[in-house]
This record gives sequence, structure tokens and C-alpha cells, in this order.
Amino acid sequence: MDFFSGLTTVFQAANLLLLILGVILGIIVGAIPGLTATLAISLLLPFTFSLEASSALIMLVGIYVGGIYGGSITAILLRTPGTPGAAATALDGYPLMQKGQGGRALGIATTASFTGGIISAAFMIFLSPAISSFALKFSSAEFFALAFFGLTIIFSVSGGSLLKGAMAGCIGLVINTVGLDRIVAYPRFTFGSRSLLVGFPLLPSIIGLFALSEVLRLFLADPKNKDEAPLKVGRILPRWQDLVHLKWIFLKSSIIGTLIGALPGAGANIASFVAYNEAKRSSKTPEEFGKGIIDGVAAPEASNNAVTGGALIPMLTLGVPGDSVTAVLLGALTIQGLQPGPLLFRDHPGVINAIFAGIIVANVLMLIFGLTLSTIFARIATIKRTTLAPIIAIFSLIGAFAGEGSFWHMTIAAGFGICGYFLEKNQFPLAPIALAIVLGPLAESNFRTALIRSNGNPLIFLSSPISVFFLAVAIGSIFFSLRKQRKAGSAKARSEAA
Amino acid sequence: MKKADIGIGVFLLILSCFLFYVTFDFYHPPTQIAGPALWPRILLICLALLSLGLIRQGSLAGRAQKEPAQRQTAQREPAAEVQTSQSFFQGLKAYLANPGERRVLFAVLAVLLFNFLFKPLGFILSVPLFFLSLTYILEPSKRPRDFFLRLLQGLAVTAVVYLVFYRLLSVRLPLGFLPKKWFY
Repeated sequence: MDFFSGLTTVFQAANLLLLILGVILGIIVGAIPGLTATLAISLLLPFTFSLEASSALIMLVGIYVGGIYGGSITAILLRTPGTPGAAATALDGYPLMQKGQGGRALGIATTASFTGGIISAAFMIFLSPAISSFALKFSSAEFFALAFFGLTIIFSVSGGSLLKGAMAGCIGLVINTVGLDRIVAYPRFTFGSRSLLVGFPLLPSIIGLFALSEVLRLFLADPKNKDEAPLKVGRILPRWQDLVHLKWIFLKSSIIGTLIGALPGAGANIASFVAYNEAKRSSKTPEEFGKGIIDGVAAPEASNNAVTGGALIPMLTLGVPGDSVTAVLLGALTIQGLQPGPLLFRDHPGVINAIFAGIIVANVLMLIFGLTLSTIFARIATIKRTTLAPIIAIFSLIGAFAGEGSFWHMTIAAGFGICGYFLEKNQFPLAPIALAIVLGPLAESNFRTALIRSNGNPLIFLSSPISVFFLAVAIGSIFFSLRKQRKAGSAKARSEAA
Repeated sequence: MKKADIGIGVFLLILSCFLFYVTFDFYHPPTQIAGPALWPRILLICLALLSLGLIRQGSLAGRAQKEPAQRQTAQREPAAEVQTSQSFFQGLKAYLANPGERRVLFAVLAVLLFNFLFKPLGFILSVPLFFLSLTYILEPSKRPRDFFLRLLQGLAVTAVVYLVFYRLLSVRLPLGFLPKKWFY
């Protein structure tokens, strides 16, 4: 494989300019709530018809990389995830912002995204066939086991009360069952409403849960409180000791992101929560997660950007998209007259090399523009609360509308925002609801498909080493969380008695 | 808060029982083992059990709170009394007496109104109105200078929405009764 010929293509003036434009546009679109990389690529697709295949794909890859990263900026600054994949970043990014370390969080998020992107690109270049064959081993039982493992993260992000965390997760999963059933297309819990047939889509739900509920919380505090100075962002450029401390998290989360990205149907939103959970599980200070710790920003960001490379692997080698963005990219390849799959490597090596080189250069550009644009975005934090809260509310509601031009989506965002505020006020954590909305469809459709395949025999979930591994880790994680909670409870009771 | 936990627990318990009952109306394909009702039923059973757990936890915590309060009747704190013995309407009155909660309630009403008026009024009119109303809920002011400043900010936000969403990203935001040709 001639990677350097790919680099030569990327560094042609016109292609480099397209890549720079793609990355910047991706970051900006990703940072706006409601607008995702999928939408940006779909909007720009007609523009690429007149371009050469390599140039078109280089630009689209730039938008993809920038778009996945961009979501983290507003997640950290405003607790408003620009994309669903950045929801996990808000869990620790926003508390860091409130501690006056928003710049540090932004710097770590950018570096983690860069590392994730580069590592996954390396995997894509050197290990594409091996990862593709691993991804093909996943059938419905393995997918359910992966989703179940992902759902145990609920216990990690529950905060003080496991009971309320589990209830929030259950509420999220029940919310997911509203609308057309994914297997037999039967309307469930719609009560005759046509709007409810589409259920509660992910993006407006997450915007409502995180952004609008936060806006309402801003109304609770006294605006005349003169002690409340605008939040400081601080230095954005990451410190060397932070990077050294995070090196294993970067590596581990990038591998998680690449592998999950390579699985069809599992995208950045799932990978970021799984990496967050793994970082918390292996941390020496797991109790600091959720209160503002850089590990909690680095893990989801490295992982969700690693999905970019991972998701391209099955798309290029098998013609199977890893997530929604690569599904649109697949369309772009077809429009250019290219047939994805093994023959693409043989017949069009120039295009493949340009994509490989393009993703590496896009990540370098993302690091440069990410750090630069973060300083501009960081000025948001200096805006007075009386002006900032209405701006977030407007952009969140219009962002929810913009995704599909749907008034119903706007209503969903408003409803989730109001419910989210009241649930959080009663100490119900919101992260498990978001997580359940992300993982619910994957869990249900694969749970039922596996049972249908096995004629109702539940032992199908124990029939492969991959699913046994995920289920064992998931059950172990639930057991340890419960034990920890019980220990903490008895320690509290002892101290109260004393 | 313990009373609120019991209330939420009871609400979710009733809701999960009702939804469980609704699942019996679901179509069950004759050849399928796992029909559309299976997954919701599993989840609703879990939710009902967890709701019972929350009700139990809330009542135990409420009892634990009451006991020391009964022992120290002479020095009972007014806050504890509010939590345990007030009626729903008294609680609502106390809730609305808090200026922060009042602001949140008005903000919720403004969000609902914005959702309702977004289509008929169009974004050009509804966005600055929504902006003005939220800023006034947060910090009421009778000074004309503040009004004009906020109106200007609202119009600036509308201009950004117009440029980013309407022009750049071609999102078909509603224009309400304003003629379409004005915005091209």
C-alpha cells in the first residue's frame, strides 16, 4: 500500500483547502446542538458531485472528523452536547467548567480526540482485514451482550443513589419502546397519535435532557447575586503532566472506539459511554467521576473520535457502514461510481490511499483548529447569565427542530428538558436516561432477534465466547457496584450512630 | 424530599402497571416467540419493582426523620414541619413563594409558549420575543434602556439563527405569516 502517494494527493493545494474547509465546517456544525456530522455530510453531498472521487472523499472525511469532535466543545462549556456522542463528555467536562477548568477540559478533549483519531487511522491502515473479520463474528446474541454490558454503565453514572440511577435507566428504556416496533413495525404505546409513531428520537431527547434542563437550572439561582463571577475558562493548551497521566486512557479508549466503530450499528454515542465506564472502572479514584475529572473527558473523547477510523473499516472492506455517517459516506462512494468492498482496494488504490492519508491529516488539522476555535468558543463562558440562558434555550430548541425540520422534535426537546429538570431536582441522575435511550434500540432488537433465531432458547446468549465475556463483565460490574453501595451505606450508618 | 420520592414512586408504579396492562393489546405474531410486548413487559416489571423500592426507601427515611423530630418537639425546626405535615396546596404555596422556583415556572411556561407559537408566528418574530421574555423572567427591569438593549440582543440572536440555520444550512424554519420573498 502506497500511503505516501495518498499524502501527495491530500497535499495538493485544492484538496488541502477542501480538507481544511471540511474540518472547520465539521467542528462548527458539530458544536451546534442538533446538527450532526451526518447532517453536514448530507448537506454537502450535492456539492461533491462535480469533484473528483479523491477530493470529494477527502473533504467528507474532514467533516466527519471535525463533526464528531465539535460536539465536545458545547458539551464542556454549556452542558449542551452538540452531538449525541458528546453526551458522555458533558458528565465530567461541565463540572470541570464549573470549577474554572473549562480550558483544561477543552484542551484534553481536543488532544484525546486527536489521539483517538490517529490511533484508529493506524488500525484502519494496518489491521482493516483482521478487524473486519472480528466485527463479522458479532451476531444478535453478541450485540445484545455488548448492549447489556453498556447498560451496566448506568450504575457508574448514577451518582449517590443506585436505586434512582437504575430507575432513570429503566425510564429511558421504557421511553425507547414508544413508537413503531423495530422488528414487526407494530405501533407501541402511541395511543393513536401519529407523532408518537416515530417515538422519541435520540438527538432532541439528549438536547432536552442536558441543555434545556440546565437552562432551567440557571433560572433557579438569583441573577442579582454579585458574588457569582462569570466562569473562568483558563489555559486551553494541555499540560504535559496531564497527557502523561492520561496516556493509557487515550490508548485503551481509542482501541474501544475503533472496535465499537467497526461494529455495524454501534457508533460514537455507544463507544463514548463504554470508554467512560472502562476509565471509571479502572481508575484509582472512581468516586471523582461525575464531579469533574479529566479522565472522564479524555475517555469518551478519545473513543468517539476513534470511531471515525473504526467505522470506515467495514465500510471500505465489506461495504457495510459502521454508523450513520459512514452510511452517508457509502452513498458518496457509490455516487462517485465506486463499489465499496474488497475490489475497491484492488481497482481504486489511489482513492483508498487518499482516504487513509486524508483521515490522518484531518486529525492533525482538527488538533490545530480545535485548539484555536476552542479559544473563540470559550468566550461564550464570559457572557452574562441573563443573556446566556436564553441563547442556549433558543439554539437548543431550534437545533432540535433543525435535525429533521420537525416541530414534534422541538416539542420532545422541551418536554425532556422540563422533565429532566424536575427529575434532577429530585436527585434522579440524567445520564442513565440518556444512556438507555442510546443503547435501548440495540439491546431490544438484538435480544428479540436472538430469541427468535434460537426458537426462544435463552442459552443462545451463552453460546459464544464474546457474548459470555460481555455478560460476565456486566454481571460482575453490577455485583461490585451493589457491594460498594452497601459498604458506603453501612459506613454512613456507623458514622451517624457514632 | 422523601415525600417527593414516595410521590414519584407511586406515580411510576401506577404508570408501569397501566402500561403493562396496555401491552396485552399488542399484536403477537403467531410464528414469533419474542413479540413486540416481550421487552416492554420485562422493563415495566423492573420499573414497578424499583418504584416499590423507592416508596419503601422514602417511607423508611421519612420515619427516621420523624422519630428524632418527635423526641425534640420543643425545638422542632419549621422546615421539618413543612416537609411532614403540610397539605398539597400549602406545599404549592410554599414552592411558589421561592423566587427561584417562580422564575423556573415562568421559564417553563415561556418554553411551552415558544413551542406553541413557533409555527404560527415564525422564527423571525418568535425568537426575539422568546429571548425578551426569558431575560425579563431572569432579571425584571422597567428601564427603557434595558428594554432596547435586550431587544437589540434578541434581534442579533435572530440574525445569527437566520444566517446559520436558514441561509447557510438551508433549514426550512417557519416564517409564519411573513412573506417568504422578504427572506431571500
